[in-house]
Amino acid sequence: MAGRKNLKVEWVGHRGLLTGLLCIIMMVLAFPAPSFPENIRPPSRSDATPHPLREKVFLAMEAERTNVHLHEIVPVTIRLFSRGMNLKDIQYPRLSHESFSVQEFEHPVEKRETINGIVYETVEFKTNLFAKKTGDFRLGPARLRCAVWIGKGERDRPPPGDHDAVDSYFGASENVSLDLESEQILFKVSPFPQEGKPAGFEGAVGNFSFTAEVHPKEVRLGEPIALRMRIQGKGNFHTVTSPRIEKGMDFKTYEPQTSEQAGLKIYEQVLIPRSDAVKEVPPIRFIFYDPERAEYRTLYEGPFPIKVTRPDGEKERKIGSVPGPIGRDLITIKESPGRLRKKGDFLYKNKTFLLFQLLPLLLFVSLLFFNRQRERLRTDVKYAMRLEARKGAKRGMKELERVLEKENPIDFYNSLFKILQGYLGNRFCLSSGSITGAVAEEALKPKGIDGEVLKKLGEIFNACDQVRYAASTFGKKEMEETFNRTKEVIRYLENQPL
Amino acid sequence: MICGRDRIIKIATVFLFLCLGQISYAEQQWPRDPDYLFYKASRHYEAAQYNEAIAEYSLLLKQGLESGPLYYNLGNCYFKKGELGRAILNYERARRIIPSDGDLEANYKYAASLTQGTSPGDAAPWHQQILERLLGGLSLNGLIILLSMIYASSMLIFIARIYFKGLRRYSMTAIAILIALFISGSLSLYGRISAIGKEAIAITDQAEIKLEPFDRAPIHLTLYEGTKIRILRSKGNWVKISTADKKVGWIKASTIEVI
Repeated sequence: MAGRKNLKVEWVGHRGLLTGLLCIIMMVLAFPAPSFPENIRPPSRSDATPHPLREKVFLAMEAERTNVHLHEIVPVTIRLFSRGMNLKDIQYPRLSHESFSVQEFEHPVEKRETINGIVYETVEFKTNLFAKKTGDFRLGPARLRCAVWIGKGERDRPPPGDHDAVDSYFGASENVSLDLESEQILFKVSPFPQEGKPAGFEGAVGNFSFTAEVHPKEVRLGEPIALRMRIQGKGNFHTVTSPRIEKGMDFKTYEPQTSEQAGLKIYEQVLIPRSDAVKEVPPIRFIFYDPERAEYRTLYEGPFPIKVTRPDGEKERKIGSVPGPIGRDLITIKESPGRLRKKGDFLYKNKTFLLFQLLPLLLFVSLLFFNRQRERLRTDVKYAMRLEARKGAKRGMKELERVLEKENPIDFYNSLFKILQGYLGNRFCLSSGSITGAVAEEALKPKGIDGEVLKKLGEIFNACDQVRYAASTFGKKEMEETFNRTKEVIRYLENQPL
Repeated sequence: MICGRDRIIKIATVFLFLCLGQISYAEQQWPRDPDYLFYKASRHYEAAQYNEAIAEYSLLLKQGLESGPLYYNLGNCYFKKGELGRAILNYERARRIIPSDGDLEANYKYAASLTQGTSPGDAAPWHQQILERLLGGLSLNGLIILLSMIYASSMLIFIARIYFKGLRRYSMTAIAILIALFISGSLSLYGRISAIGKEAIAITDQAEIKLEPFDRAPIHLTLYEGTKIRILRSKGNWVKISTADKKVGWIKASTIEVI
């Protein structure tokens, strides 16, 4: 990253804290260009005020070329010019580069250069960059911070704007922090030409050579072969990807291991033959775009003949479906942590999951019971009638309670009579319409019903008959007694195993 | 008008503080973010800084989290560091979560092939090995889900038998197959659950297995790094273990680590 390293960082103050703070002054200097070569001249600003310092120290940036292709490496040089100045604390330049990827600066080189007969001392910072997208983009300005001792001669001349006060404060010489700024460079970034673009081109740009070798050339089935591929040359190694094996799925492959040095990238790929019928590692190709020749180039290596033998006594097996021993090195790490969960979070400890397991069983038991009940109701008439008797009695007694509230004896006893007829008919499989007190007693006596209950039942029927046929009047109290007696009789009959 | 402006300033101030609070909270949380820690650890691994990578991965474990890839990567780190026992230990832990992972199986077998003792894969009895061949590709939770599905399917068939009488002739065969699968799976599940906390890996090279749990007891066997053993019981700093070939002895607890 440009501008991150400091050449030297030190405290520049020399007259106590106040003086020191005042000495660290940002001076953004803009220079009118006297007469410099096209690409080496101080930056200019129309509103700049001339200052002697501006002719003595400035920053210039130049690129080897400005019409470039996407991802093409472009050397850029930033030079700090100074004349008769004692520069200190020179930091690495910082570069505005939104559309570019800029590599780290090389170690700066100090030189002397003569321009228009004037000898300058220069500090040269070199880096490489490449454009990340196509279009017209401005690089820079480059900014550089350094410090300078300004002698009395310079101090006496008024610097621009805000620095007047500072200069007038000091008596002899002062240590001033300078922020220098170069001009911008306009780049025209072209896309890769579509014409002649080979399939499989992955964006490598430069001028490379490609070699590959396999080792060992004789393996037993299941053992790995190391394919070592070397890409060497000048260009953008960031966009160089592993060369592709030309064809075939005869090998189980693993993610290649990459190592990189200056001007060299090495890929080591593990290949495991899937069968002993494999006779060679197919050709491997590496495609790149050569900006100097302005053409795509495809380099091939291989095929590499190999010999795969099957271990004694082993039948044919597929490598890949069942992972086998890889041999000499590990398969590399996983890039994603996968689904992280709490330690020991097993489903058999999860109460919700375990409770959920009861659902199918409950569903089955419920449906089984429901179905059996339905079948019994369909086939067992006595059972169905008995159930109906219970339901009907329950429903009828509720209705009767409402009638009781109205204190109308005729309605009450009529309803009661109907309820008793319905209940006894269903409960004992009798014809409901023909049931009277006498009929009920006659039907229930042989079933071993308690005589007291039969007596109560007879009294209820008698009361009904008296109101319905003899127009007897009963008050609420009598009706309540009859109601309670009826409830007792029904409760008793319901509890009998008949 | 002034009141309105004051209110706006107050709201803006509160909003600003909330934002700053959020940023501060996010900054505090960022170093503990699992994905970030994992990423950081992986970069250490790539730079061959295995101790640093182990430290970062272990931070995730300290947060009470685990995953197959996490144990796998830890296994790789220990392997590269030359600690074969801990490498196998972590591969074993990963196998409980991602048993069908090809890379894991390859690295595990490779690491196991370098041990001098009994191969960890041979430790299980024959019937368990058969079940493992059938169901070994499933994690413990995967197996539980499979069993749950078999059980639910059986119940569905039983329910279908109630309503579709035509199915009754064939359903018994399906139910018999499902019950057989359920029993096999349950046996496998039982074996796996009962192994939790009872299986361990030797993490030091050539640990001494003694006949009795004290230092001066006679040496019975030597346990090589990476060997899988079964814990029978423990007594103080000593653990009674059983090896794959059914030999029993006492070993110092510090020489093994539970999977």
